[in-house]
Amino acid sequence: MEWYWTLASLIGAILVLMAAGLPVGIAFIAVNVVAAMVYLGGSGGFFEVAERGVGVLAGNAFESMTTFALVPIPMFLLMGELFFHTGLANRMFTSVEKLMGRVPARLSYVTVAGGTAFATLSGSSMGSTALLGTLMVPEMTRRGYKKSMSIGPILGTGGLAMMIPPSALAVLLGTLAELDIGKLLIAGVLPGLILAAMYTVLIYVMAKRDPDAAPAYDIEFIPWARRLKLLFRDVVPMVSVVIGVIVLIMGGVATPSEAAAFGCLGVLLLAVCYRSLTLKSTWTSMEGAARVTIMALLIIFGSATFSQILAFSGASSGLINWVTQFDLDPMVMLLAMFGILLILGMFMDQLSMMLLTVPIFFPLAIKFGFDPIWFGVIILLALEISFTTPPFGLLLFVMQGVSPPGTKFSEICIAAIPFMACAMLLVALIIIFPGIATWLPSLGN
Amino acid sequence: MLKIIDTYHARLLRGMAALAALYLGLMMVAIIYSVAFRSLGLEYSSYSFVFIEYGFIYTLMLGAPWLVRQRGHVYIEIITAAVRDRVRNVLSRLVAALCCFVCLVLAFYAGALAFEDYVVGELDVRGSRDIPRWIVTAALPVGFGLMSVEFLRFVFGREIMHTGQAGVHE
Repeated sequence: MEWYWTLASLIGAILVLMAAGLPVGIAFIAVNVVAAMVYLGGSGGFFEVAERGVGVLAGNAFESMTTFALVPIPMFLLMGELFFHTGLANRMFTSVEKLMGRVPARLSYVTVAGGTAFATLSGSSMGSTALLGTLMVPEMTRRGYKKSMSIGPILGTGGLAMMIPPSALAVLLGTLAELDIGKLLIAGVLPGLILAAMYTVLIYVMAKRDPDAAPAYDIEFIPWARRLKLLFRDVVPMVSVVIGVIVLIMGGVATPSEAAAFGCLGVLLLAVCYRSLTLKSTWTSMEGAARVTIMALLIIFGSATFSQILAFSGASSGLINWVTQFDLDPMVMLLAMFGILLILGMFMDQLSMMLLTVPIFFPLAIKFGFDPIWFGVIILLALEISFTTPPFGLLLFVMQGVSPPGTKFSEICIAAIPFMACAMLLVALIIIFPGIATWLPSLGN
Repeated sequence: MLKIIDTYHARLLRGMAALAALYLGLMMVAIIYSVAFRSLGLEYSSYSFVFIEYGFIYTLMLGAPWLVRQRGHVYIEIITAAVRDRVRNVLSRLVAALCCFVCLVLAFYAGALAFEDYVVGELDVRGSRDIPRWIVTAALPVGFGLMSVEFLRFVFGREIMHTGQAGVHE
């Protein structure tokens, strides 16, 4: 069979099964079982071929899942769950709000700060959007905020979540693409901070241009001494845990897996210090982390053989040879891959998009001479942008589901545009100045 | 009778999921133990690595059947959201039947693999230890077997797998 038929049938079958409603992991397993029998099962009777094919599949899954590299995923998730269920996140959130004082559009800034923490640590952009949409939008609507200032920042925070460590999705991308996970995590820090600064400037400009978009209202004045106390008691310790994880990885003191475990320990110790650690909060956190981990593990299990089948069937090399014969400009190739991710984001979750595209995109990227870490950062941003791009981005629909009654879909789309434009601008900056993504990892030990 | 079996089965799955959650907590403890002992120059058991690295298979196989029951795995509703209730009812059961079949196939062949590992005495070298491989591969037929039972519930039970609401569910 020609490589393009193989590629089309493999990807087509997965897409059809996903669209039919099979759990993503099972859809991958189903296609891999058949493909493993065809390409890896050898010759002989049906049962012999099946035994060999499925045997290879199970063996691959065993190898790819019994690895220390996956440890940061549950640890980052556990860290995030502990943050929320022990009340530490809420404590920080409330203090940041108080520290903002009478700054115009302060609830929008608080949403960016809190939303980043929520999305980064919860491991789910959709869950985070739903939660913040329910929590913050009614309050901002009550205070007279326009949709652009209430909904926009929530949709924008997803992009930050992908970038700033601890990001479970970055770990997964690093594992799938066989990248240095520590470097990929560190590579996201600078772009994440730039994106956060862009959002801050955007909110400032929007509030300045249209003061009615985020009306000021009186709040209790807090003296500077109390503000400092709030800062050092409720904000600095929580942020220190995240910075500690980054420093441990960057300094080469600990692997990402070890740093993530120490991040969990840090949160536990903080919760003990604040006397908010209970058996119930610990148990709920472990259960929440297990839920998302199991969900991700089934998909990893299902996809373990996918890239091997693509390689073995000649689909990967066929595609690479076909693409390279056109002598395309690497930037055109990059934009084409970016465009494909934007389209996939209309009807797929980020994990599925990754599993489907990583085995194809990364070999192409290497062939075109892209730095894999730099490319990984761009892929992470593309994944998030695709999730929020009007008119079909899935987060837009999630937001509509939790917005106050009467919120029009067009209002949500319009609110998302400036924040997505910031993320697009960041992608352009990373392309023009690759150092934004590669400089910090190059300093690492 | 079936209701009683289902109640106990639900408790079993819940208990297994609780073990999966506990395992994650213990993984954290194991990492901290090994790093702390290594940093202090003390001897530590290399079984901690075995415990951590095998943890993902165990966690998945312990928790995945419960997640099927909870509809907690990621799935996309495009077609099932676009069709009428009656069509969705049939389509959803067909999808569940396909999932059940896939899990049964995996349970069967993974079971054969685990049996072979046991008979041949296949070893997995990990953390400088020789570990009998069947200790891990034996989890696969159990997990996939129980998942197939859960999918079967959606084929013949009153409830179906899909909600009819468009979007990605997780």
